[in-house]
Amino acid sequence: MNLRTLANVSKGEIFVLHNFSDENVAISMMELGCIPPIKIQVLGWALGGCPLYVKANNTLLAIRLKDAQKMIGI
Amino acid sequence: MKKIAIIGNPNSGKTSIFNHLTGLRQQTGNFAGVTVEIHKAAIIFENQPIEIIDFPGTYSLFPNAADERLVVEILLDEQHAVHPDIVCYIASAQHLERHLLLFSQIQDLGFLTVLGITMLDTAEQQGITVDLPKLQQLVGVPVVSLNGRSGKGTQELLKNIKNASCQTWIRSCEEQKQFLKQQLCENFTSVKPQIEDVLQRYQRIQSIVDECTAKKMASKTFTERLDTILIHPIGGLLIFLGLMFFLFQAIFSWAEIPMNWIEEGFVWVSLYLKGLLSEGWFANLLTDGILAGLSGIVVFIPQIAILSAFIALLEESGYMARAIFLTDNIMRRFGLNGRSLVSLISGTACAIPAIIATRNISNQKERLITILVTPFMSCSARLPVFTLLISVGIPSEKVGGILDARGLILFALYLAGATTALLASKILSQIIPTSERNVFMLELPVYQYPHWKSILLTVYNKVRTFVWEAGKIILIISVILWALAFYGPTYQRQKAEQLLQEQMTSHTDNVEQLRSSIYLETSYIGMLGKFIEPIIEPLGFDWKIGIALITSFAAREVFVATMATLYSVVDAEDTRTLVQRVKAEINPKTGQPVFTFPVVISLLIFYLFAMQCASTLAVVRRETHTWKWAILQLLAMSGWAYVASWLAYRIAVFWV
Repeated sequence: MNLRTLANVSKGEIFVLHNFSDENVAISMMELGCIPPIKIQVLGWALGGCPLYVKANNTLLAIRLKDAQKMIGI
Repeated sequence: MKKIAIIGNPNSGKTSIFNHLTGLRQQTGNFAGVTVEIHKAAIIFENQPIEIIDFPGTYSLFPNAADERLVVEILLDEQHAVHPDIVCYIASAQHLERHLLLFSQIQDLGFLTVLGITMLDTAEQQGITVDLPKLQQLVGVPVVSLNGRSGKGTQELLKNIKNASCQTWIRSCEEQKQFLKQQLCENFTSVKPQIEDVLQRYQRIQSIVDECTAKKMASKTFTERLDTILIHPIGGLLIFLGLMFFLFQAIFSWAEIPMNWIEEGFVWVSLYLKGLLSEGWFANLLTDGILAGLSGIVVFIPQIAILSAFIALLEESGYMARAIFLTDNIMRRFGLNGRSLVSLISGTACAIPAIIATRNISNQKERLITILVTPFMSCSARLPVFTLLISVGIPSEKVGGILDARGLILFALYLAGATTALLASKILSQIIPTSERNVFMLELPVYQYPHWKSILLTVYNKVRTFVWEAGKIILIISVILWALAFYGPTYQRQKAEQLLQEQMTSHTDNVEQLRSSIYLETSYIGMLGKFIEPIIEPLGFDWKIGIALITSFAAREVFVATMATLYSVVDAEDTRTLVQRVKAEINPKTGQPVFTFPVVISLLIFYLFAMQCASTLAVVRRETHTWKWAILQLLAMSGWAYVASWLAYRIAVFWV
């Protein structure tokens, strides 16, 4: 299956996070309990498509689009 | 005295536990060089005095903000005033896995710890149950069940202090200290070792959590269902704006009633004292210096209380994170975040509570920018100044047959204030450096019924801090301004008496007002007004306006009262008389009216941008813990006010 970033996931879809292309994004996500591989569901967006509203590991999170682009998975 | 630290992740409920343990005994501790505050309280437990310290919430010991960094610094520095002997670690049952990360890092530092688990009931609703005896067995420290709402379990937590223990996870105590000191030296820029540290810890955490928790697949939670409405890109934004409008109304209108009572109360006391004491410097100092200063402090309490209660309500319920989410896209373009918007909107009522409200912004750079730009928003104290000046210089005409010219100017002033605040933010965000990670990730906590006790405690603490900290400075500035207005050189005073004798025959109806006017003119402040005349002349101002500029330095609304004194109007409330007198004032040099359209526009612009508020200055000093930002802000705002005023004056002169 082709790899994609969290920024390309549609609303309601489940994304499996495998890796990060930025260490700062990685440590911030890990501190919030998001250790790959982890399922992330996109629940919505704010006006203009940013930030994203997602659910990961029973936690609701807001992630900016530029940071979502650094999260790689399927 | 034993020091007990309350430590945990944000949204773990640790502050509610701290509030239950300490109540009204809380004090705020500030530490040199940092803008972060730590709340602490001394209590007696089982006949032993203990100090309880509420540490800022942090996700790990790899800080991303100034408050998180302070936690690491204190834990590593054994000589620090609040370095704890024992840690009460608070973790939420909902997110046990994540909350055990920081717990494991603290355990490796060798701190004797008790683990308190909160939100067991909320977790159960989500299908998560935690076996606490099993957890205690696995982590090797006492585990206590806590309820942040009722306070149940807090005494049990304290009782377990004597059983507190420690179990290392991935490093020995010395290795962990060395590792963190190394990271601190490198300003936590080396991320790879941090990632390795976290991954290693999670391996063990994962197996512990799997062993002591049971999870059932829960359907869509109440929070998720509510969020489909509250964070809808358009609907959610409209609800947020509605809430902000409600807040604005509350600060603007509701607070006015108790504010009027306070002002009337002070006037009554002042008049009573004037009647009681014989005329002289002491009576004057007491009534026009000290009482006026105290009134300037107490009068802000209703606004601060309403705004603090509202913000605490948003925080406690979990809505504040949604407000940040909704407005982040707009605010980040100006180097701010959603919490900044709450302060900016509140600033249109009063900058004091709005600046105090920035404490909720965890990113120190964004917080500082919000503090620095909030006074550009047109506060309610500018309104009497604007009303007077617009009545004097702007004709009551219809623009385009529908809109009132005066209303349009007032609207333009509010808009100009807001635009300047946002542009200044954009500039400051480029200038002010930051060492914080440029990653924005925000946890949206589950919705909860607010704890009324916590809200009341927050309001009490905010009001108390304002009265004691900013109040001192406001009082000092008021007394200095009083002294400058009350005293004058002897030769000037002799001149004043002569002038009074000469003019008394033509002003028999209001001798007292005439005396005040002449005495103000010959006081040090009057001399200062004349001294600064050459500086303010390019803006179209004369020395009388100069006096008003100086007297209104402490509070801009004093401008109207000063104008009333200078123009010998008996009742400052009677603006019609004041407007007529001000309009009729002739410049002896030019033979033209002083308050022409260009002068009024220039003054309006000056009052829109200049700081002219000692209370704001004091609060900025209080919140940034340094005079540096307060003075820079004063200079920048006054400098910009001067330039903008001059430009407006020149353009208006050209136009007319």
